[in-house]
Amino acid sequence: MPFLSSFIHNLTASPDEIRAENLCHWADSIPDAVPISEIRPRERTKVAGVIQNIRIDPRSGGSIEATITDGRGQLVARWLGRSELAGIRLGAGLVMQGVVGEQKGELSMLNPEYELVPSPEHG
Amino acid sequence: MSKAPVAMKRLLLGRPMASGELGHTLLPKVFALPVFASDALSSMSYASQEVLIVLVAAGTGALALGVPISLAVSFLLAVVIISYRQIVRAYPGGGGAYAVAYENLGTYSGLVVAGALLLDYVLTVAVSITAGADAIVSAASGLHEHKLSITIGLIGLVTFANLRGAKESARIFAIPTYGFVLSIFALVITGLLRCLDGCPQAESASLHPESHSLLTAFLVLKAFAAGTTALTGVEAIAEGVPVFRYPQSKNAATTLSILGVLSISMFIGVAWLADKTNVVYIHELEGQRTVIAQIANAVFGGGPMFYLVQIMTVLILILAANTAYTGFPVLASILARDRFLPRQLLNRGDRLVFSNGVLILAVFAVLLVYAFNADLNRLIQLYLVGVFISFTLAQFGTVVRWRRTREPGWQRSAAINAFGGLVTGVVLAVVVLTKFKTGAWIVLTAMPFLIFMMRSINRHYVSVLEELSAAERRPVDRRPGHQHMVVFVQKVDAASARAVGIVRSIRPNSLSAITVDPTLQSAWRRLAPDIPIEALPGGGSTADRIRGYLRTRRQDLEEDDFLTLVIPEILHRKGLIEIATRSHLHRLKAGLLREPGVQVMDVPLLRDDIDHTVDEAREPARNYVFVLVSSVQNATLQAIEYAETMRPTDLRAVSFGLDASETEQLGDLWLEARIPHPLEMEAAPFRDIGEAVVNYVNQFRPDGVERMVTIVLPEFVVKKAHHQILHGQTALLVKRRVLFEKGVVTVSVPYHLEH
Repeated sequence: MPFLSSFIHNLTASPDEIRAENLCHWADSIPDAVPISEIRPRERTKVAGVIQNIRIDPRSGGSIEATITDGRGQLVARWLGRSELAGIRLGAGLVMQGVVGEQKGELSMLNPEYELVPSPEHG
Repeated sequence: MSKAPVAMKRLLLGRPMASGELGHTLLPKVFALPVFASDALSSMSYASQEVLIVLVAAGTGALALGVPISLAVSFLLAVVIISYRQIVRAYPGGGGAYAVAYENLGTYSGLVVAGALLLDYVLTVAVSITAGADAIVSAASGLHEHKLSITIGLIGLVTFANLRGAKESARIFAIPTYGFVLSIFALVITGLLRCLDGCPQAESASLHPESHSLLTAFLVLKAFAAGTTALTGVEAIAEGVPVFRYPQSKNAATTLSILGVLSISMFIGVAWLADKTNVVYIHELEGQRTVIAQIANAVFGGGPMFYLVQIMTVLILILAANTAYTGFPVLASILARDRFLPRQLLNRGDRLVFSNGVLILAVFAVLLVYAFNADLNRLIQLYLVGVFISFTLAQFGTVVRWRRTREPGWQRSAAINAFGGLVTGVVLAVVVLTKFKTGAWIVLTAMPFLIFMMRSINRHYVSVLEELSAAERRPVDRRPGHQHMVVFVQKVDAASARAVGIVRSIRPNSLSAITVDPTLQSAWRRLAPDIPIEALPGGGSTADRIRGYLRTRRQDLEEDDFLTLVIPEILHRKGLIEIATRSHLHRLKAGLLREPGVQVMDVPLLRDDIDHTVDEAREPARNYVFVLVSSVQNATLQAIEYAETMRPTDLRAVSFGLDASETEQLGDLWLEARIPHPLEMEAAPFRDIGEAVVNYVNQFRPDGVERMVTIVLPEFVVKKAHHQILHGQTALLVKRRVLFEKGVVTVSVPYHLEH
């Protein structure tokens, strides 16, 4: 019975699975955003995700990275030569446009334009 | 983690909620009234009763004063409501009495209000649930002997519901609240109609208790003070302004007025009916029904309407108790944020409720109910002092605010608030005077104690923070750091071999080993001939001998050298039981943390992870070191310098679970401090830092042989052991969580404080 199996799923699903489902629903509501799992590298893409990790590296000119997740995959946005970025906070929603590169299995965007949007995790 | 306990917790408490789900929808007045006014309205169910209890001491003749006294109380209620309408205008962001007093009247006033409110919330639960139990046994008199159990059982139920957290509470509140209001109105109107033919008499009308005091002015004042119980709960609307629909202040003010009209009409109506039906209520008499029950019985003749009144009474009283379950933990969290209460009360748990706050409230409410044997009248004696303290200080605080901001029309508002404050101040004096012997003294002694405790907690946190941010560090900047390592050998086994590999890869300035078992020395020399081993001389416990050795070594070293004790251990199975059986090791490690100048590295190895085909003593090729940080202060800086001595493949600082504003703050502080290492801030959306750390670590795929992860944990150690409980349980949590993870080593780097 689908009801019973979804009840059991809700009981035993790990928090990460639940979170991934929430994020998928949210990301799907952003118009024209491509799910991270379906991105084709080296093409200009629009992608949306919630900021999961922020990395500030003060060495050699400085850089800031924000790793976003949309429940289906992760992508790293990198901005070089900057030491601060307005509004980049954990849990914020980011919508970015840019060319996606791939290095050692990791998807990334360099200096993309970005827009902050409300997300389910922005407390 | 096995699925069964997770499923159980999930079944009982519901699924974990992400921080972003906290956003609430704004309430229209029709739903806001039940949510915030249920406490105020519910006190109607016992206020008249309290007046009668006092008056009956002067004989049944005195009962006739019930209506005039109720009118006086209604006047007071009207004054307070008009005054609070100004407060909601002044504080559209929510005018909690604590915040109002703290900002406008100073720290001590704020603490006085905080203490009064905390006690009040506990009493709200105790009083409301006891009154609810009274209503139940009035409807079902067979349950009378079980009143205490019923009360405690109800508290348990409400606690459980609050641990779950209810998002749909606004609608749930509406039915009992309006049900209660309507049933009381029905009671009064029916009573009025029946009185046209001669009022029905209450069952106690024939009682003629002896009067044992004269009808003095003091007694009248005492009855008045008892009646003021009708005002409890009025301030809740002022705290809830942000939840109203726009225009928020105006809607909140209107809701206050509606509350006033409803309360006053219900109160006077019940008082009038009590007079006309000649209800007599004697406190000491066992098995009596409540005044409302008696009136309902007389007017409705014991039919279904009687039961309806009782049921609605119970329901609204439970709701009133529930408002304390929201108020207390929120206040405790605000006090924790301001560093007047331990930080364990600061954050929300799995269900976005402040679980610790809820549990503490429940425990104290149960203790109180048990101590007073669920006696409503005795509990109410404690209730009023706190209420009027916060009324008075909140109103005077708002006057100060009006004078400060001088918004248009401030003079009128300030005058209203000043008058209100004066009136409630006088009532406070009356309450203290008349109820001193019967219970107010308990509150007046508990409050200074609470205030003293909050002040000490604050002093402690503030002095710790000052020391951590002080420009002078002890010892000063250690770069380049010298590292001296000592391996404590309990057994020559795979864990020791792994420790050998690790310490060799670090290539410290000096490397040695110690043991308390001299027979191990030859096995050790075969394993690691390059690491000299020393058997510690006998005498005393293992911990003492190790400490003695470390102290001697410490004296030979420079002040800014690091001295690390490496403790390898084999773990037999995962789980809390394994941790519990190794308590001697934990005591050793905890004791070592308090030893100045010593750091402790844990090298755990799960027996199942031992690979016998591999040489455990091989040096790992990659060591990913990260320092767990949450702020930038002296303990953090020391830990980073320590991490630099680990010869890391990669070194970074990581913080978990910060909220949005903390992220920005930490980023700024990091750059200001010019620390030459990357900082990563990782989200922990379910606030489970342990899980977040494990997930983070796994990205490095540590296997313990080729690749390892070292987590460096800065900890600050306060001088007095009993203060330690106020601090960082995070380090302990992380250590426990990663204990069974493959290839992960933890190092505690304590920073010793003078305070």
